[in-house]
Amino acid sequence: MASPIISVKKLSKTYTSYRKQPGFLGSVKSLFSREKVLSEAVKGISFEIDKGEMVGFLGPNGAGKTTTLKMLSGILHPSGGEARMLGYTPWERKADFQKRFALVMGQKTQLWWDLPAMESFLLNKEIYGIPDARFKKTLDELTTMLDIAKLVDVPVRKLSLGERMKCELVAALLHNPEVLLLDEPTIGLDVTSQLAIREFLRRYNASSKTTVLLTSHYMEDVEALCERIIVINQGQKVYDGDLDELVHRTLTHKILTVTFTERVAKERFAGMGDVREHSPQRVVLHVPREQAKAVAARVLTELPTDDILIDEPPIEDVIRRVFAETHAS
Amino acid sequence: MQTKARKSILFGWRANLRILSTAFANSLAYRTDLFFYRVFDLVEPLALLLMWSALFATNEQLVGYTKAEMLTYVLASRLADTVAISWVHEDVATSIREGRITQFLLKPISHVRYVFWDALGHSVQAKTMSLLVTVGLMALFHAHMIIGSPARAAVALLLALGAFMINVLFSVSYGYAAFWLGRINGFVQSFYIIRWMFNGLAFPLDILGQGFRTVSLALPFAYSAFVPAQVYLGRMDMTQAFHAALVEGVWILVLLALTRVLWHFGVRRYEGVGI
Repeated sequence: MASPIISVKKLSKTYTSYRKQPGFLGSVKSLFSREKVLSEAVKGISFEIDKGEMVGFLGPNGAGKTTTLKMLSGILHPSGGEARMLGYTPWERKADFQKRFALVMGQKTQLWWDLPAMESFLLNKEIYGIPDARFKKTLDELTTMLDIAKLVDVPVRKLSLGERMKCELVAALLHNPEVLLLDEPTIGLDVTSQLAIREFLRRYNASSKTTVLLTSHYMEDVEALCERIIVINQGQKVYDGDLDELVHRTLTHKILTVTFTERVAKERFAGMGDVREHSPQRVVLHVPREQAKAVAARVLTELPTDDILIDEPPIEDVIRRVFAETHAS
Repeated sequence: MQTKARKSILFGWRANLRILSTAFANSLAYRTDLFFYRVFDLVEPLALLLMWSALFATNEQLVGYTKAEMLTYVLASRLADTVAISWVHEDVATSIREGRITQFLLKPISHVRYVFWDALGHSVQAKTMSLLVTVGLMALFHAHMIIGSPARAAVALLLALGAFMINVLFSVSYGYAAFWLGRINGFVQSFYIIRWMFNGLAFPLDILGQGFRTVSLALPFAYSAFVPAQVYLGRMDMTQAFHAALVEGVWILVLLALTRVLWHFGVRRYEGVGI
């Protein structure tokens, strides 16, 4: 059996910071003595990822997702534990290792802000030592897949966020990495751009068999791309397994938000689900998943509906429940 | 094996030139701003030239210099410092504070190497413009200029290029102080006032006596302005110039080692904030 591409054992990271009391006196006092604060961002997590897998890494803000990605990519030294990626210890930062993976951060750019993206692509070509023919072939493939061939000569600062993210992906993938770490790649993007990025990642993973570890706040990203998810909360792994199983086990309901063209009394929603919010022309219902379509149809036919939105509960709800379950067990 | 090594060297140089050309292109992104920097290049040496001209109005010789030697020194030291100066510390410190240095922990390239070529690329236009301003001042004061031999000018230029390496490495080193200090402005200011004292841009270092001159030559700062200007003027001979080049070489090795040590321990403290 092939060994995993990523192997993490009891990995932990503790950040050190200093607490300062507010105000002028607090500032003066902090010049002479400061209170040291230790914060455990990651607490001994372990997991393995095989070649070609696309794994979603989920958790609320401050859960330890990005810290884990930073350790896997060699940006941070851990406080304890081990990690191996592609057979290397990431924080040794060997050049051969760095040529075999890429990290894309939704909130940070690696592109030169005032220059066309092509300048950054050419710079990466030389830094990674990509031969001319391979560079041209990969660049053509990626820009075609992402439909940005006409944008590569426009200064990056003139691009929209979605266009910039597409260029970020091209810059990260030019050296054909075997592992791609994605930290919130769709953050802040409009729905169309989110869909385009998701579709690209799905096709890219299918064609290149690149191993992908993806963190996202958007449940849709993970649902569309990952069969397996790892959920962490407060630095601890609370779930590692099949996404469908988690969704069906945890998300027992959907949220229907309906607006009406005229006033509708609360009593009219009897038997449709749990009324969470109500105002004369708007209601929010929590409806069992399997009944969501039927209830939506009833609303549309029986009530003066202006608009209806069927949504999943927020990712925080899922994680909170998984976390609560883990604690209870 | 040899082919692989040759390929590696070739890619290495192509990477250097690409970093240089990208930085050069980036430096031209805001062209109007470049113009305003030139005011500084013009006013400071002009003030020194006028001050020394006034002092020599009633004296044939002052502090061991004739008027022509002193005015040539002012502009030659300015020319050398234009080649040698480097201001990368603020960018290095900001990139640490804001998390941009992360890219260099992910990519197969040394940060110092990147910064060196980037600094060169970014400063090509500034150095060229400063040189033109200084050459203009030389033309304006041509009646009082000593024209040094091409050989002396070439050696002075090489020494200034060596000083550029020293200044980049020094600048990177105190930029790395941001791994520990966060902000480095106060640290840099105290450092720059020492540099100003010992580089010979404000006045020729030998006017304060032999002891001060000796101390200055042991420090790395004099090689940016004082030493190249002295070589150009013929006040330092070729043996002394060769000795100066050796001292520069030692400083480059020391600073290379220092940047490696600071990087090694600094990145262990780095938390990649903002990502």
